[in-house]
Amino acid sequence: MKNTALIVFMFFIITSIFGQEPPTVTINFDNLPLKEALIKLETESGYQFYFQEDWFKELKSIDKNYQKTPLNEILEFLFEGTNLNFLIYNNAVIVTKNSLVYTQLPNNYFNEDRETDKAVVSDMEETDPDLEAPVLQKDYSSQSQGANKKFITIGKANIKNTQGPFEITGSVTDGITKRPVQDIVVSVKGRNTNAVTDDNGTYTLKLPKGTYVLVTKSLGFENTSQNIVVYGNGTLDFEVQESLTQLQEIVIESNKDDNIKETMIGITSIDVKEIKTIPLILGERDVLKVATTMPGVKTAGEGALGYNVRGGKTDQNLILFDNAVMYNPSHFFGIFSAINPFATGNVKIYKGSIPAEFGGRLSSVIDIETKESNTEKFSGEASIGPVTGNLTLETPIVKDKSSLMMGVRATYSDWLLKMVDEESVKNSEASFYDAVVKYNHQINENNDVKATMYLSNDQFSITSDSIFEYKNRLASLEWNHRFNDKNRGTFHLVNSQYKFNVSYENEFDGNFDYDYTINESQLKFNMKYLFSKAHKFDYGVSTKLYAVEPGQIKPLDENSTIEFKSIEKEQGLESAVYFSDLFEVNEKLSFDIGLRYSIYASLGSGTQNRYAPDQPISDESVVETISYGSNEVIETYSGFEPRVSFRYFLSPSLSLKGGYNRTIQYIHLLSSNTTMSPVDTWKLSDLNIKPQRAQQFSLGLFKNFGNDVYEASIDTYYKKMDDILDFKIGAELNLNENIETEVLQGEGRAYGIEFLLKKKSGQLNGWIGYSYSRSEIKLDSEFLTERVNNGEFFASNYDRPHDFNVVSNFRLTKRYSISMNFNYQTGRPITYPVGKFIFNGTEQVIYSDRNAERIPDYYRLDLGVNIEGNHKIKKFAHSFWNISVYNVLGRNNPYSVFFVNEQGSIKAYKTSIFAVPIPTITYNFKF
Amino acid sequence: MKYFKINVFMLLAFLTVIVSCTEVYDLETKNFESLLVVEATITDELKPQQIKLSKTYRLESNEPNEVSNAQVWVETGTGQQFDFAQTEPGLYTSVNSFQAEAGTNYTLHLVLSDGTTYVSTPEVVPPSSEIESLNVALETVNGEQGIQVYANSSTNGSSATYFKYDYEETYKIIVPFYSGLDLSLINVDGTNGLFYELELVPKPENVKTCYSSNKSTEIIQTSLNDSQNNSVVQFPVRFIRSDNSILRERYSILVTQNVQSVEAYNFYKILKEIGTIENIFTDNQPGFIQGNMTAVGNSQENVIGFFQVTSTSTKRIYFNHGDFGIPLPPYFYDCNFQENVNYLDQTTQDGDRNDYNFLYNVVLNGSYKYFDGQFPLYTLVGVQCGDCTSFSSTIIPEFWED
Repeated sequence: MKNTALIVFMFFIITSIFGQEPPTVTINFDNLPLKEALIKLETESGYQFYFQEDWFKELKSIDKNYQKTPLNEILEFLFEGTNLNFLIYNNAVIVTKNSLVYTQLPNNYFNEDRETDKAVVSDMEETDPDLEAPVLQKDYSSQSQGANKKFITIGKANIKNTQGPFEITGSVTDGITKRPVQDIVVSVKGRNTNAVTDDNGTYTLKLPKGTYVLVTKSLGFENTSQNIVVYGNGTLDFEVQESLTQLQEIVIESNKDDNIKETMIGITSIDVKEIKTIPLILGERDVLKVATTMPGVKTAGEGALGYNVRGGKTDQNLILFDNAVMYNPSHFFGIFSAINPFATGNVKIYKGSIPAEFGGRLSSVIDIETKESNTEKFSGEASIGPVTGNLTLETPIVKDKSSLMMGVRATYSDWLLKMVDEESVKNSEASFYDAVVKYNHQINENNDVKATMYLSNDQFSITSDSIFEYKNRLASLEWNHRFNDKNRGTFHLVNSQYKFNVSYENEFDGNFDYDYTINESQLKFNMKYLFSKAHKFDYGVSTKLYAVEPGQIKPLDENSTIEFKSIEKEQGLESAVYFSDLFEVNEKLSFDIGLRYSIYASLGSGTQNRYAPDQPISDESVVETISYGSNEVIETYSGFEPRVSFRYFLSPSLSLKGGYNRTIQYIHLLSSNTTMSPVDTWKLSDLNIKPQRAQQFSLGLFKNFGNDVYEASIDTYYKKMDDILDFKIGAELNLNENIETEVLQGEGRAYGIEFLLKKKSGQLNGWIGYSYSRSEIKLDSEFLTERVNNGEFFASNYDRPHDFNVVSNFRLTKRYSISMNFNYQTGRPITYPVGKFIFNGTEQVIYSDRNAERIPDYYRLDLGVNIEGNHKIKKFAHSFWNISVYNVLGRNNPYSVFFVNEQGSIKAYKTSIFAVPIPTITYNFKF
Repeated sequence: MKYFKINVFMLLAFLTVIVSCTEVYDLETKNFESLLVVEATITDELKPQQIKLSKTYRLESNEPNEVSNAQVWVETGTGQQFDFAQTEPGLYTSVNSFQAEAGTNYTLHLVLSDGTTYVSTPEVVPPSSEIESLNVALETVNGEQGIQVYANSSTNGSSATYFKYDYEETYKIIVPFYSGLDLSLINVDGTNGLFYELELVPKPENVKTCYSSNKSTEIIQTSLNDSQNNSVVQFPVRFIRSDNSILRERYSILVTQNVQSVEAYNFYKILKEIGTIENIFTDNQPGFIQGNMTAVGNSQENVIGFFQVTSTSTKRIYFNHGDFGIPLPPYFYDCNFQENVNYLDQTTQDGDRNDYNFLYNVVLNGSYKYFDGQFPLYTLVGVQCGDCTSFSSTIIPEFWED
């Protein structure tokens, strides 16, 4: 077939015989295969037929009779619906595949300027029929240089079919696993036309007639290219090979022009595969740590638990792991994240627009998806680092239909602790593990199910008298059903649990066990309706039941004087209905209009205090205590949460986007610390604790240039929050029946501007981000005891105005690359003493305004070298070494400054978590 | 509401040793605010009651700032008034002894010399509770061996819930190298180089045995809220490491139990929490601790401190280290034992110290004491090992029992 085009061309060169009348034939086709039919026709007509046998292998059968019908009519009928063409020439019928033999040169064929005309055509989305020209050899020769691949023709040329553009669809599969590959960019060389493969690995491109070079581009796979000739609609499948040099590119975001095209604003997406060259602490590849290098996502400091997204508190992020809420995504406080990098596919952070299907947190949704496991063959990935070992295995259960993935990560730090020659360290322990199991099953074309289980556990004991333990347990079930081409639905059933336990044993009779548990179960139906090209609807309902056991303390043994005590269980039901419309007004303008209505009911049984309205809330101002029966509604809260965003193309590569978002949060983290701790408890809204509410406005400019290699954006936002929780100084939050007496609910506001410049590919790639942002809180009340900083706005604990990040990777050779991170941030605010005084015979410090000072600025440089194992194709495993040095400059970045009372006088200390350069070697292999 | 303290010194183990680092940070006052500090506790004990007034001072400074010449009085709900007079800078003592009585409201009033007026909320005496007993035991606490002093309150049906303990410990000191004689300089003549002679004279008083006292500075509190008991049982008040020098001779501790109101208890509790670091990863949010004193006519002014009325009870206990079979703890000081200091060694040419000059200097400035020896060779010890008055007092406390 490869020479078809040339043969056709040769025929074409020969003088045209247009005008000769074709003969008429009488013939009966009695359910004959096309080939047989042609042979019969050849006999009947007396014409010599030229074709290749293998063109007819799978073609239709013919069942028709003709009476004195012109030969060309019969042939037209026979070839209808195939990609075969024919030419009747000098008593011969020449059958061609795809190509149409023209019998006449186009008018301007010999025009010198044709090349430029062609270029004009290429740049236009819609083909101008006047310029429509057959695809000729001249095009080939001018474009085929360098692309020494054969041409593939797409579609069937048809003289009548000059309407363009044509649709080229196809699927992209992994050459080894045969699995569809999603998020691969299929682009057209020299044109700004791209498509991205969807979940099923399929793409659709629109091109006018012509010759093109299609290129697949992805970070994890080798680029492939294919020369094509487009005659009409058709398909083209690609097989791609996983790239052995994937370390070369560390680009976040795979959809080439999503940056400018997506209607929603403020979305960061990270593909876990692509972050492996980024130097990280102690060799732990950590997708959430990488997220903090993007503007708008911050932590209070190294080792701080939780993330602050656009000036929100750490409890305002909905962290979803395969749709199940993860309450504490960290190990070792905040030093490592609890997300196994090998089991994770990609992470999307919605910090601006939040889709209407998500709710329940104010500031962001961090949507973590485990990767699709291999349904083709057994494979795995493992790493050995200084702190943890990680093994992830994937195995098909029913080939091509279902598969299982298991990932386990555990630390061996205990062993290291024992080696340290210091008594206090020897006796301490710190260990963690996390495990994930995922099963996916493609039942049939219209149904698939996915089930994920996740478990994480941390245990540590630093002083000899207490052991701390905390656990996440998640389970999620997802059933996708395709009703028809336009309607799809997903049913989710998820459950998550977070619990911690403190076990305390000392010499005195106060031994106890303290437990906390929060459990939530959610049911959600999500429907997608592709109504039309202009309207795509998403709608659904969800309901979530919370059950909190806020604490139980029990004596550990008989001698303990601790009294058994249990705080009343809390229950709440949070439900929502939502509807959204992705409305494409025209090529330039689109809207995403989301409406969400959520309602929350705090449920009994339980007792609640009512407080005198004109007095500060305290044990003394209780007016009445109300008892509620089981499942009796204590209080309901509800609200509309509109989510609206728009995108407008100012030019084909520059878009303006904006959004307005309203969110409500019914659950709150109780923490009297400046940063989150694993033993902080979550509390549901009740009679006295109102839900938190927020509104965010965002506006941004998004630009792609350099053929989408570069992405630039400027994003601004203003966020206003109401009823956010804070606490009185020295608040006792553990086992407190009347938390409301310690709570202050205030206002928050945050605003900022974020700049991001990314280079997505090439020898040097990476990104530079800078943000200037503020986050402030106001706690005002008519009562002195409920007022902070005189009721004026003050900087929140995580207000770090300047944040500058460079993440880069430079490829030296196919196997070696070096990478560099640099981070600069304003130091976080601290409450600094304003003086000292003597009290109880001891020096004490006096603090007045909260967060009036800052600790010194933070900066850090990390370097890494990445070495790929050799590139032999037949190797059992593919290895990858990463050698990195964290904090190369040895900068002693203060994490906190604190003041303690030592022997009657005040001393100030500053702590740094990683104050020295930390070298790490990690070995990864894949099979 | 106090349950337990999650005392998490979570110095992340090996990370701590290898990576994390805590170092002293220079304190520097940035926005100094001079605030009034009121430390006022009225007890149910009949005695001259005392109130301390001071102002906050700068972080770099070590000089407390007493508030003098204030008018101080306590008023009761029944109109009674107890006046206080300044007895030391910043210290005001009631003119007459009085005791807080159950069922009566007490309010503290202050008028400073600049005319600003402060008033407390009315306070009442909390339920009383006696210390029933103190006992001691040899324990290992956090890996260290030592003597633990426990307090027990009486179980006579008192509803006292919040307790604050103070102690004053007194210990006997006997210097390890005592001599009844002192070296004295005579015939000193500096005209032609240095000339002096030495004479051994009896010590004017016995400075072998002394008694020192320390008051607790820590805030020691407990509450019965989370306890199965209705009294304080074996509450650890003071832990003394086995090698603490104060245990060399007889030791005594006087424990005062103050029953507090919940507000006073919380005030002290927060004060303590803010001054302690629990966890390097999560700090308590520090801030101003609201007490119960306010400036009249200016509710914005922060006043530090709490006017509390407590019911108190005290108990004393004595013990010796020998009672627990622990070895004799080392002495408070290194004795710098100097043997055979030679009066006749008047040169450094021989490669060692000029003992003649050394003797003159140390006898003159009193940094060493005579222990033994005769002319020309003397044995000297550091003054703290030969004369306990160098750091303590020979006055036998009135209560002392041997």
